[in-house]
Amino acid sequence: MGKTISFTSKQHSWLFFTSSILVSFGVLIVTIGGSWDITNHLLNRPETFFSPPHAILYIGVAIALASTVIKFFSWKNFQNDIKSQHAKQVKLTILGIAILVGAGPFDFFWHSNFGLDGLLSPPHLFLISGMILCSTASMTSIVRYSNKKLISSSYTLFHFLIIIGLLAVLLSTSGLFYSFSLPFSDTEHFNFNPDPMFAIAFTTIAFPFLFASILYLSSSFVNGKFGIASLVGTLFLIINASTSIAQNSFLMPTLGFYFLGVIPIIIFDAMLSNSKRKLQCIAGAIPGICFYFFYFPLITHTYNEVFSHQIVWPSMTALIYFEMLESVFPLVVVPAALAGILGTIFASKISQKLRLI
Amino acid sequence: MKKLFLYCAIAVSLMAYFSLTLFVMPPNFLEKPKLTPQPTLDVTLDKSKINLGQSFEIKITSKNIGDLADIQIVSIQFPNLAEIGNTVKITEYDFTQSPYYVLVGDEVGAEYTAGQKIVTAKYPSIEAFSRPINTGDQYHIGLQVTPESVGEFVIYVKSVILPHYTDLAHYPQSGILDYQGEYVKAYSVEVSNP
Repeated sequence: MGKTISFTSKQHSWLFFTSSILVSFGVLIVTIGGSWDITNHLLNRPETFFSPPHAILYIGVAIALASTVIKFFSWKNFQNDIKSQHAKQVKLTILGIAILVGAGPFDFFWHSNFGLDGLLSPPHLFLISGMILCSTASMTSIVRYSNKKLISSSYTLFHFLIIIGLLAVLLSTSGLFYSFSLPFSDTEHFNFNPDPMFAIAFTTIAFPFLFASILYLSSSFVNGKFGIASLVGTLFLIINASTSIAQNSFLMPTLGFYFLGVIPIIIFDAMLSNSKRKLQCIAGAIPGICFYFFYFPLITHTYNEVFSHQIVWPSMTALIYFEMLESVFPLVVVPAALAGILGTIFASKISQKLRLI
Repeated sequence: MKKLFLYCAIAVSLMAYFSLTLFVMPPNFLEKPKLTPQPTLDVTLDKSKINLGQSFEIKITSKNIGDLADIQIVSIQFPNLAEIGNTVKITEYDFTQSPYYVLVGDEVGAEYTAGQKIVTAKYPSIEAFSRPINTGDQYHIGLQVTPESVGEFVIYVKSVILPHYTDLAHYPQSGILDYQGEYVKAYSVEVSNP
């Protein structure tokens, strides 16, 4: 005789929260696989679909898919008022995962028919859109679920779990921005490379905006408690260093330089937890300005298209990056600072909206 | 007072950060000596004379005896042929990337510029390549050649490492220049009527 497993409403609630975290975790794994895949393409041109980064990527998809199923069934068992509160996020997660899962066979079909695709291709755009939908919806679920616990004066497990949700959004959106800025999409059959001038303008505005807004949200969701924004920013640096720098032996000497990026992240976090809202928004200029360092080494390829015009060999990346530094940095500092400020203003509105509900 | 101390600490930290990232650290990376990779080739032919209809084998071992580099290419060219067809078969191959067949008329890079100067291929060739290439890395390619006409069957062999900073980054460093304006070493087998 089969035994029916039944859950109490508290257990359903926990299942819902845990599965939301796991959806974000799955997307995070996908972004790590994706970032490693880009580096892999730059270093040794993998010639088949079946590469280790692709395996990591699809393990992430499997985690996100299984968690979405659990999330849906736990949500279905909620009482009506709570159910309607989370309905939009659950629907968006399902839509996101459907796109994400559909992107797999689409990508395989594309590889089979058109050979290796570039960074920006229809299946990759599908994949990234699915990731953004899933991660954003899950982060919203996590914040709404743990709202009261997040504003408590002492640190709880929720404060640290929310980091997964925020990182997934930051990395998946960074992936989308990379697609529209890196010149990696000129393939045998299609050339989806962005116009170089558009690419540098987009990079200079979009990345500072994104980074500042996610750091602001990290602090704001935990009621300005110091530490969470620093952890989100530092983990971003660690992930980027592991997938884009450490994989390339030529870039290993730049790790010390790259991890200095922890300093402005901690400074921004300290300002968010110790100042009034107006000053907090102005402080968004700090992570904004530093985007040129945070997004090393890949943005070298974007700015090289306009400022250096060299072949960016893996062994030449650091040299070209530092050669361009003195010409690029003075040009991007003001727009990047403004984009960072706008990012924090935008994030403060989003945060208010999410926490009011 | 506490706030004043905090803002002072922030200002000092920011100044330190930007000084390090903009002025102190970049020269360390800009002043680094450029890497000097150096390819070598060991080419062996199992026969110097054959009869028409017979085959001979050519085995090539490439090695990087210099610094690590991004790509090492070994190019095996067939100036007597209009197309490779069934004349040349790869029997052994352990380079990290699949071999690339250059056809007559294909656009290829010239003068060691990695594609920044382009010429049209005048005869077919097979390009074997690995990336990245560490110091001491060795790769092998073996070919079985069955010439379809009598006379001297000529093979040109060269290796280029990219990025190409110095003359050490190609092998051979002197001799015959091919249509790409790059040095090659020539090998030949006498093909006679049986």
